[in-house]
Amino acid sequence: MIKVENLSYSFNDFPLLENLNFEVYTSEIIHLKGKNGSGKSTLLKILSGILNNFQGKVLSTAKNVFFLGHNLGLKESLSVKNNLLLDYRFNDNAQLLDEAYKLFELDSLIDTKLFNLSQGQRKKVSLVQLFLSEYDLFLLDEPFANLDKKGIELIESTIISHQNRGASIIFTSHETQNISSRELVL
Amino acid sequence: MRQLFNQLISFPYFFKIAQISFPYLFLLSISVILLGVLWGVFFSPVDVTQGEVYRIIYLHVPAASVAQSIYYTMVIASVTYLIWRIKMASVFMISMAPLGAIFTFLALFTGAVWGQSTWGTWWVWDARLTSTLILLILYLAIISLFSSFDRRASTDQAVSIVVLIGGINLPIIKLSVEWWNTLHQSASITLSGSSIDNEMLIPLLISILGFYLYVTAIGMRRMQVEILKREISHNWVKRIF
Amino acid sequence: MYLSRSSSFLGPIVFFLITITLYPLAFGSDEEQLAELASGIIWISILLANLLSHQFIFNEDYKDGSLDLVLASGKSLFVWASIKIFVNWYFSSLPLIFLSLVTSFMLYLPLDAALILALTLFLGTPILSMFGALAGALTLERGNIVGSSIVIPMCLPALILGILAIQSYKNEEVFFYIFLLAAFLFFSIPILIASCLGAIRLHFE
Repeated sequence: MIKVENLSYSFNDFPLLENLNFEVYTSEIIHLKGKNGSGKSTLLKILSGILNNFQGKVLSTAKNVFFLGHNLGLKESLSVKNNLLLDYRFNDNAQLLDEAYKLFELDSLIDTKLFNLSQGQRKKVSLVQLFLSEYDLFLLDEPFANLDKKGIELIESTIISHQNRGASIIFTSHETQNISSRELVL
Repeated sequence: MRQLFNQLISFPYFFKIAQISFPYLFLLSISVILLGVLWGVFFSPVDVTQGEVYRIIYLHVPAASVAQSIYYTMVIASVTYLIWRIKMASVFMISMAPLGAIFTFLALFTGAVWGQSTWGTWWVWDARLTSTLILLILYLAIISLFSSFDRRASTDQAVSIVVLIGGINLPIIKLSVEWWNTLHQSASITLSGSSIDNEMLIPLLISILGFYLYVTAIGMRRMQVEILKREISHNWVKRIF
Repeated sequence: MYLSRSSSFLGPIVFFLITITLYPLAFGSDEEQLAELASGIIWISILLANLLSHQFIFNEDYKDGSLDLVLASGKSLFVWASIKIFVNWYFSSLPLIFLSLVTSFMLYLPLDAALILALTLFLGTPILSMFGALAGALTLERGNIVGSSIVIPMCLPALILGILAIQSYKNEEVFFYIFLLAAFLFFSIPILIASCLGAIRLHFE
């Protein structure tokens, strides 16, 4: 799905990523590991096409890429419901949305403005997006951060269901996760 | 040709060339300026209408000419940077912008002194003065961008964009300022129109040449400093010092 | 899509009204003098209000990560930025144009001149909006005054042409200036939006 050749990226002459070579196949879950500042987030941003100024080659056959960053891309001044309705990445099928609300325990919060929510609850809103978007490639930066145990289980099952559909997932995390098929250490 | 160009845009090679040629170029420029200005001040005839004070022309015209030329070369550099990402182009822009600002200021200042003694006022809102003032503001705005970014590549690109937009806009600004001026002008003072005598023209041309040489020399020096700032961690810099 | 921002909708209006009010307070309420200055007063106030209201249009999207998602989606940044600028122009500049008609009576501008004023603003404010957006795009990381101080000199042709058109509203030249202003707008659209994209991109180097 993705082939990376001799990828290097530097920040003001300070090399962050040097000569990376790896390949990601379809239906793979890859756990991207590394110390703080080793360039995990940067790598995900390069793979998703957000950062362009790199050396080397990134070849991708993914038709569409789902990116989840540190900043979730949600609008503070909108309600949970409107945030989700505005998302172009999935069909806002009312029934599916209702199911997702229940699944992620957001059904009591759908009309709450986002700035009233905790970090964990916001994360759950973006997990609904993750849950509903049927994309080829998922690049998830710290998807497990700020979540309770139930949330972590939910996201794991979501990731696995996407894998079963044939999608590839790359995520970063500091803890060991047992859902991944491979680990990649920076 | 292509090889020569590639060498010139490589930092170590440029640095070496600049290091060797700077002292000669600098001395040459100073002597040409001195020749032009001294000739102009002591040996060229006195202007009939303006008297001795017109001699400030030997500083004013070269400064104004250099100030504008620097901007246009920066526009070329900005296009070069935006299309080919040649780092030397951004080094050039960042090194030249402060020089441009200084010479624009010098042009305005000498113009004001000249104006004070010939028209009795330091400043008129004449089209040319106004667009020179805008040029100064533009230079200062570009300089103020230098420290606004964490990433050097961002600074380079921001400066290129602003220089380019400014470059496209500058002729339009000049033109519109001229229209504005024709509609508003109350005191009809224009700088142009009077023809210039050969005996004045030759020292003036020499002085202009001197200014250009000086800017080239100082510009190269500033580019060297900028290159050192960027490449301080590279091996070729360590080998030199 | 971007409707949930009532405060930013009112902001430029308040700013515009207060700047307009400042001029008579500073120059006195002499009818003839104000009428003479009116076109300039309104244009300068609109210019400042417009630049201010466009300074931060990309900031929120940059900070909350929406811009990341736009870039990751592979959709056209050009279309996204154009829509963003247009919507912001529609909600913050268009009201100002109508308001400028009201204020032009308050500053004793003749009706014909006021209509020309509205026309020049209609052609001029999109230019200002795009310059404002460029200023905002340049200073995404720290919203500061550097951006607008860079673009104000670039806006001068629009300001000058606009005011010249109003001042020559009695003779034929008015069409000439309006035509030039329209031409300036026409050529600014691709150039300025492209440079907005470049300026947004530079934060993702």
